Amino acid sequence: MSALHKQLREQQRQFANAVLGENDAPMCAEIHETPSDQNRFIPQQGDFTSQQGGFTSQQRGFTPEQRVQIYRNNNFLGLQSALEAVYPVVKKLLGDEFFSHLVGSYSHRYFSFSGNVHDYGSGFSNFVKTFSGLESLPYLTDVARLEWAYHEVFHATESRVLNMDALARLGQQSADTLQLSVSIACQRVSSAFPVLRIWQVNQQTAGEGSDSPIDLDEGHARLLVIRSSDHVEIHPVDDGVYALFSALSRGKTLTEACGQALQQEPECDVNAALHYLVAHRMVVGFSV
Amino acid sequence: MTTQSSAPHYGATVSIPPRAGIGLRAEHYDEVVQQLPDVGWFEAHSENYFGIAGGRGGRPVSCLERVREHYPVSLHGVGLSLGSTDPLDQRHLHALKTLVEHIQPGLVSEHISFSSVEGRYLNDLLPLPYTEEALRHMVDRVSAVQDFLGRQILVENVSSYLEYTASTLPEWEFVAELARRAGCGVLLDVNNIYVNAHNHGFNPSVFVQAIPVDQVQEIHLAGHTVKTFPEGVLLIDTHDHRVCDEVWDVYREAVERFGDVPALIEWDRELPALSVLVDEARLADDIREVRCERIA
Repeated sequence: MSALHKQLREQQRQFANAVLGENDAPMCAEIHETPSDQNRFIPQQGDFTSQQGGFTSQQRGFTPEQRVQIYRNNNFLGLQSALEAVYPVVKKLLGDEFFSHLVGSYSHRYFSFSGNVHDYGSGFSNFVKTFSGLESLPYLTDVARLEWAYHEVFHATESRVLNMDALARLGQQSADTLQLSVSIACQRVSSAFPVLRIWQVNQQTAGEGSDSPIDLDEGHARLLVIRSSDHVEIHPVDDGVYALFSALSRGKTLTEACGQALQQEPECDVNAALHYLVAHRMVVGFSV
Repeated sequence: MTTQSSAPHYGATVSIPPRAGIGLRAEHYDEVVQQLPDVGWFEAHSENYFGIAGGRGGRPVSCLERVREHYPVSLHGVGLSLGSTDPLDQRHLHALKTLVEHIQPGLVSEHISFSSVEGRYLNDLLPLPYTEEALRHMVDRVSAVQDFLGRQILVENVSSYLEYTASTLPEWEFVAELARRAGCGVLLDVNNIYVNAHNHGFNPSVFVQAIPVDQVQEIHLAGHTVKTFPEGVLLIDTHDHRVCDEVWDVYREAVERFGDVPALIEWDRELPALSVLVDEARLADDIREVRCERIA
């Protein structure tokens, strides 16, 4: 293909580079404003005049740079609306103008590598963490992580229920090697800040009480985000449940995971914790 | 019914009727399923149902399944980057094929454009130079996609704001010749024709009349934005307005030429109430019916 489409490849490379803001100069040699008369193909067709149908030449006085600028705008607006859809609370907390500024910096630094725009923005929370000017909002990166988790879960297929009968048929000898697999439709988010409350009061549908101030010291959040029927649910859970889920998702055996749950929360009822994960389809399979 | 793997298949593909349909947007999911508006069919952007991070589609797919129970559906891709000289993204193609097999759409369409260069994607549909080289490349790519999916696809003409000096063919010749050589259908976007006619200075009729009648299987209608600069006016394909009178005129000419072809109202930004989309679809139906009654 490379030999066959050498010119086309170069034309596309120059176009994309011009739009993405690299090597502006050479691109102007290849892509012009609407072609000037001497190399224009249309007049030779004989079935066209520029005055026909109200299409005069007056709109053709744009430079290639101006025309490329339209593609830059389109690309930016497309990425901005993708990030707005994923991060509405971050946007609300920052305001339209700062959010747009943030998106501009992010999109300049992180290209999209997928034809599915829903894949774009996974690194936004880390970017927010280091972005200058956001020091007064220390919880923002965790809010962004929660919003990305929500986005992933929204696009994940609901899990099936764990086959408890099959699990019960396992003999006691399997207990030490038993591993439970967690659902792809369940994501975990932990934060030193009350991010669920922040997320809730900044929803468009947030009602009364949404104006009440949130005390950032009111406690940390351990959240499991899960698809349930037609919705995405955010479950605040105890440290023990969270530790159990985290250990299982890192591939620990059930025995090890229970140990970690108890380490995090000595009073944790690991049986109840496990039932909770199974009942909400957060744990969906097992292997020994 | 809510998981892709356990959902029933819909039996035989239901073809898209020669009526107007509307684009399915996440903001309208609940309303569409509850109200079942009087439109002929729905078009869904394929990538919205791919899922991310291996999640296979999620809530959007369960909504699309329900819409599919009540309406014929077409799948319209915006991110395959069909005209790119990068290799076809196999992951993207597999996701598309899985979705096509699951939803059994009446039509599957992609764009005559490219979005990616050396793995980097732009969130836009960039025009190709209309050269013999690009044409051969597109023919190969469309053929590869059709072979992979095991079905014909439609290819859509895109809006553009610049032309390549290297182009040797008019856009309409490129489109018609691509469909002829690759054996694909044409999704004729009459708004894009109008936008390009203005931006590049040609008569939209020339485009419409240059496409062979039997190639066109779907027509797109949308609103665009008129941008005024000191140097003049450019039309930008924004899909955020009602269809303007001039584009309805191009549609009338297209209906005259191509006959009973399904039309679609596209609206992507500044999404209005569902009823506005339904109303636009009714306008398109009225135009088509007037023509058909006259012929009858």
